[in-house]
Amino acid sequence: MKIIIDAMGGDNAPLEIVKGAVLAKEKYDADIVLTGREEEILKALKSMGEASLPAGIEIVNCEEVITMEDDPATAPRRKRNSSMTVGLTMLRKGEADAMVSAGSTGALLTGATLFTKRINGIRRAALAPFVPCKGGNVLIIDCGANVECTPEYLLQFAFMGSFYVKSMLNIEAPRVGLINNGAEECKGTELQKETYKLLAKAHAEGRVNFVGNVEARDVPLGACDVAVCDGFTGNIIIKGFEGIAKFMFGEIKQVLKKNVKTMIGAALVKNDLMSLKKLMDSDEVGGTILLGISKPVIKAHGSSDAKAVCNAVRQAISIVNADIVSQINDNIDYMRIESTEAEA
Amino acid sequence: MDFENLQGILAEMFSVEEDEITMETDFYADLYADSLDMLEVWYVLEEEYDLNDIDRAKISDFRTVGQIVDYIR
Repeated sequence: MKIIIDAMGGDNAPLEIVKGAVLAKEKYDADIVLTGREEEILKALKSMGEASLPAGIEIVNCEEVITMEDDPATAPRRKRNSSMTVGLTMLRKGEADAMVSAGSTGALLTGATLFTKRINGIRRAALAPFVPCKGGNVLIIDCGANVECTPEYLLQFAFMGSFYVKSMLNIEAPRVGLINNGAEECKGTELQKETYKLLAKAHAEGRVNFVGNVEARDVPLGACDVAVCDGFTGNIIIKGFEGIAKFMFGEIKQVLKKNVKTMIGAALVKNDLMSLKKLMDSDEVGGTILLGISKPVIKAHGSSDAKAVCNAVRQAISIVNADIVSQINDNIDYMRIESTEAEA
Repeated sequence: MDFENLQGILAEMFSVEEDEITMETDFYADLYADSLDMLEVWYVLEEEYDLNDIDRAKISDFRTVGQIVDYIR
């Protein structure tokens, strides 16, 4: 298996990305292609004590870099020789099995749509991370790829998300919830109200297991297996989760350090707390699939360190092994939406 | 310029039947296109018809398929 890693994408590129690539090569049986400025990649390797390129890792030299300041809509086309565009084009040509990038989310969506292409029949790719919740995991779709969505896009996210959860978590009929500011059907903006109608119709037709509106507070409590929302809402939810987790662990730490009695208690539950911390650590997750693209494209957190990059590679490998893209392709008729579906 | 070819490309891109793509088809009103869709149209036109450096602002001016056909011709 061959995984492309955008060596220049992310806040800590290229050093942490290169470190993560080397770590992933050591841990997993996959060849790695680093796209980016060769000189900077070799310098990063040298600073890690690697005199030469480790076996199983190759570099594809690209002089351009898509930065966070670049217009995400035009940068992938304007910078054809960027680490991101070159990687996405190689992926399209079948020169690797998956790609990982910690670069600009907007540019990655545009680039993947233009150069790697959507699965035929899928209108929009969406970021779909698994988030731990009571009783297991919940898939939040979309978490930031599409700030503006139509009800039809959200319906298709529900179809894709259900299929992904079914494949990855072996849940026969995943419960789909629509993120809203209340459980009642009349809640939300026009987007939620129209999407509710579409999901209810799809439920009646047996195409999706829609359980109704779900409030953000009920997502971590396991109210659904697939939480559907536009990318703007999803991004706020997931970052809210991250912040609350960090705050809670900080508070717990303070409580446990309070006196000798609490410190003894901390020693007794240390391993359990560490497991819980690991569960909530976004670096452990590594990355998120851009669901709907014709080849697996994994978006790693912009602030990814070596561990996160390594875990994103692990995730890419598991997605390739699960053959998710082919399975969505094979079942596209079931997921296809009509442009006028909202009017029905 | 082969209109059937363009029809096929746009039908696939917007997940509609080919006969739904006519010269009068409005990208925004009929195909519910947004800015990313129009970027794809822009990219495909450049690739497929070997057009270089179509002004991006021009693309956002296109409302109908006919306007694009006229532009390519």
